[in-house]
Amino acid sequence: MILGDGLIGQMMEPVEFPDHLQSQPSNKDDWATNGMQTRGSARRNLVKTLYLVPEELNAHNQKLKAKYDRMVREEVRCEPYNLAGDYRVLIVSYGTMSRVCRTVIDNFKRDGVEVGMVRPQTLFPFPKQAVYDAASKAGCRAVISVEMSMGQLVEDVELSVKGVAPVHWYGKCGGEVPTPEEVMEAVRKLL
Amino acid sequence: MGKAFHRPEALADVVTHYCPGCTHGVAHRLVAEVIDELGIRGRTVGIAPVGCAVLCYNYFSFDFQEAAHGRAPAMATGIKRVRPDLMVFTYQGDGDLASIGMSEIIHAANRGEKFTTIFINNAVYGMTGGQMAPTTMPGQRTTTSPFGRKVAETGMPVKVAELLSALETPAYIAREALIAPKFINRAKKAIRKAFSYQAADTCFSLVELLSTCPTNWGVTPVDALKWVEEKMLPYYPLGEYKTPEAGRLNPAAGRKHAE
Ligand SMILES: Cc1ncc(C[n+]2csc(CCOP(=O)(O)OP(=O)(O)O)c2C)c(N)n1
Ligand code: SF4
Repeated sequence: MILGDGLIGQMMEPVEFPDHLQSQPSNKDDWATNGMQTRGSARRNLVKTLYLVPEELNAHNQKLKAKYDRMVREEVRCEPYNLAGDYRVLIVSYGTMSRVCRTVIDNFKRDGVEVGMVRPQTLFPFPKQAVYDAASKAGCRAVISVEMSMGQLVEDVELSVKGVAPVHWYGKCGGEVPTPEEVMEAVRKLL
Repeated sequence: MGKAFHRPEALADVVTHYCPGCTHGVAHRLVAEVIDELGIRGRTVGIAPVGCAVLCYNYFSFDFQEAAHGRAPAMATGIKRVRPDLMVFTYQGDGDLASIGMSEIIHAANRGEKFTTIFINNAVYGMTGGQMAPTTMPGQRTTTSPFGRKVAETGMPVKVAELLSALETPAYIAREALIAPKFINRAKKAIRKAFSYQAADTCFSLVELLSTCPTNWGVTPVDALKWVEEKMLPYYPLGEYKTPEAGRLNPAAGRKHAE
């Protein structure tokens, strides 16, 4: 599932469509309900998630759990920004807001103040380890979740930081984009 | 002597979980017979509802999918559009189709999606314990209308066949009842027509089947059949509401049910 950024949703530019788009029938014969005769098979395919027998449902849930665990191992994505230096504050921010935060970090750098950022690219699996590692770094005094929402991200950040540093929140919503100056003011209080 | 009565190939050789006297089993059998007769089992895909018939795929012997509550028409739309050569049908109850899934079925019918819907109208939510459905009769006691359905508060029962036949696009809409051999024979003809129209690439077809739920109505199987005849038939007239040849019809006017 891709969560779209509201601002991206409001952008417009011309696109070119190919003459016609054609859907591709599935050739996944081992499970697709594409008709028994398509597969030349006497075995029918069934796509379902309902298991009423507890043992069967448990087995299915274990299978799904193994799949989620694999996603956690293989699919987690995030982008570090300015984590090499001795930052005193760590920002966690995503989407449009993280662009503003880059400017914030660059502005601070010009004044000789180091601020780092982890930008989660996947919400599930959440980059817990990356956020924890960045928050645990010596010299990091505080973490701040900067959002264009009233704290949808901050609880994930708290869970990831596991108390190694205090976690704060700054945000605005309704489509109003916080300016670099406003974010800098919030970060400055933590320096 | 040859064997005259046998299990259709499209029906699995298992015991169903349906209550004694429930007509879901009759509907399954009719669908299976039609699929056998048309020789389409190998290219048929069914979509199961949420409701007592969610497990209907255990009783049929061809490809099947589960759908979220009321969303079978969306799934059927996708499958049929990608594979127009397949025969696709949804099997849905009145809670599934006329309550949570009402907008799905109206728009699928109106878009003229080329699948078939078998719609079981048993005037309650069966699976979840007999709650009131949009099709529940005036005055009918259910677990959520313990003093009887009050029309002043909840309106009159929704007539799905009439509602959908008011749309311009659908090809074939009929209502039949599963209460006695003469009615069941008519029902089978309607189901056969619906699938045949689909096979001929005609757009959306639906057969509403008046059915019983003795368990939640709190009556014996025999009384349930009588109840359909006495209470439901006068309000839900049987017959064809729309055919590709004749257009819109009005079975309520003139024709008496099951002549
Ligand atoms: C999204 C969602 N909402 C509610 C339910 C609970 N539920 C299960 S079956 C059902 C009613 C089904 O009634 P009907 O379609 O009349 O089928 P019947 O059981 O009578 O054959 C409901 C509300 C569900 N499974 N999913
Ligand atoms: S609860 Fe009603 S609809 Fe469900 S199986 Fe029993 S009789 Fe049939």
